[in-house]
Amino acid sequence: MKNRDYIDRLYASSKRLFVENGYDAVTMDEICESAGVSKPTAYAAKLTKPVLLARLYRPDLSESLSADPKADPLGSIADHLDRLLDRIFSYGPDLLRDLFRLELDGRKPDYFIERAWYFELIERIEHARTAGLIDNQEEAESLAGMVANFLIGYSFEYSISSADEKRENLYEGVRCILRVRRIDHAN
Amino acid sequence: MRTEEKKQQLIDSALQLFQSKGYENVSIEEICRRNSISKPTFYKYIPAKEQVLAHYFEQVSRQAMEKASGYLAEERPAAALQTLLGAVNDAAERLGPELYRIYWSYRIRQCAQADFRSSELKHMTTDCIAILQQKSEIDSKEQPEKLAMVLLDLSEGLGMSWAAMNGAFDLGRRYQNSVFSILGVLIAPSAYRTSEAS
Repeated sequence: MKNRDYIDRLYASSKRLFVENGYDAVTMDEICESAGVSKPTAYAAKLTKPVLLARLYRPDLSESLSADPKADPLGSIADHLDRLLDRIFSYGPDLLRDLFRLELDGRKPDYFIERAWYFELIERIEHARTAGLIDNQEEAESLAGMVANFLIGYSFEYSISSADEKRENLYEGVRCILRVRRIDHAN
Repeated sequence: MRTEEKKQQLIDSALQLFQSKGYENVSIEEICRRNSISKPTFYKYIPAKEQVLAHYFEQVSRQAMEKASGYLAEERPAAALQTLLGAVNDAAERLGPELYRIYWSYRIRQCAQADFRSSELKHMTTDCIAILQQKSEIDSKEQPEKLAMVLLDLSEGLGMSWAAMNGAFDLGRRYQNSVFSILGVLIAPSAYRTSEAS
């Protein structure tokens, strides 16, 4: 219980400091001080600056989907996309650019797109395909790969051109890739 | 014209050096020595070492657009589309993931949109897709602009993944397969072959 507590404090402090000052301007000392956690404790928990930044962008897979995957496979794909998009577009283009930079330098602990999110995307697409809603004949896994890389390309453009996030365009893009008639929230 | 030739020559010799010795180990002085020019002359053509890569990719997309116009004039929209969409990935594979990653890092620092995302490229891609739809050579009924946007963003995303994963997959083939399946290509893929690919 106590364990979770200091980790959560580190997450909260790093989030606030990164968003306020930008990734480069913040030091681990500042994060620890603001969280009231000693540096050795943070490092013992393997919480470094890149890990903390990556954590900001990790989708929360425990959030339940509003669309029922069985009754509305396409709606559940949109919901699942939102879990990731809510994070990607939350902190503005500058911080997202820092995330891409870490990724390219090989300093970020995992791939742009978290594995667990990706595997669930494959599962959702598989459902929709079984229900006959997808015209693209590729395997679910390679479809998920296309969707994921499209999201990376799209969010990269957002991060360098400060364009509006325009989530509608993203849904439309995913619809084009999967070749479905409509991908939208059920409500 | 002479200026363009000279610049091309500088870019080519710089890329050669980057590839044989590694980007970090090549100095502007060395590129200048190779070409028997002074540093100020080099900077007149290319303002910084890291811009060599940006200039290279600019040229690649410009040449691709010229070639694609030719294919369109010959009523070969499939070959035109292939040229437009394949050029940057081909160039990335020629350079290798290491240099491509340096180019991406540069773009991120500079907030530079790739030249191949220029509106002209987007328009040409859109035109090719529209013609292929009219000729019933692709199955997707989506608006051509939307498809062009998706294909170009996908190209960016795959390119960055490829660079970040140090070339872990076949970029050109993976992208091509994606393009074909998204468009729902109905005719023989050989129509998409361009002269230099054969």
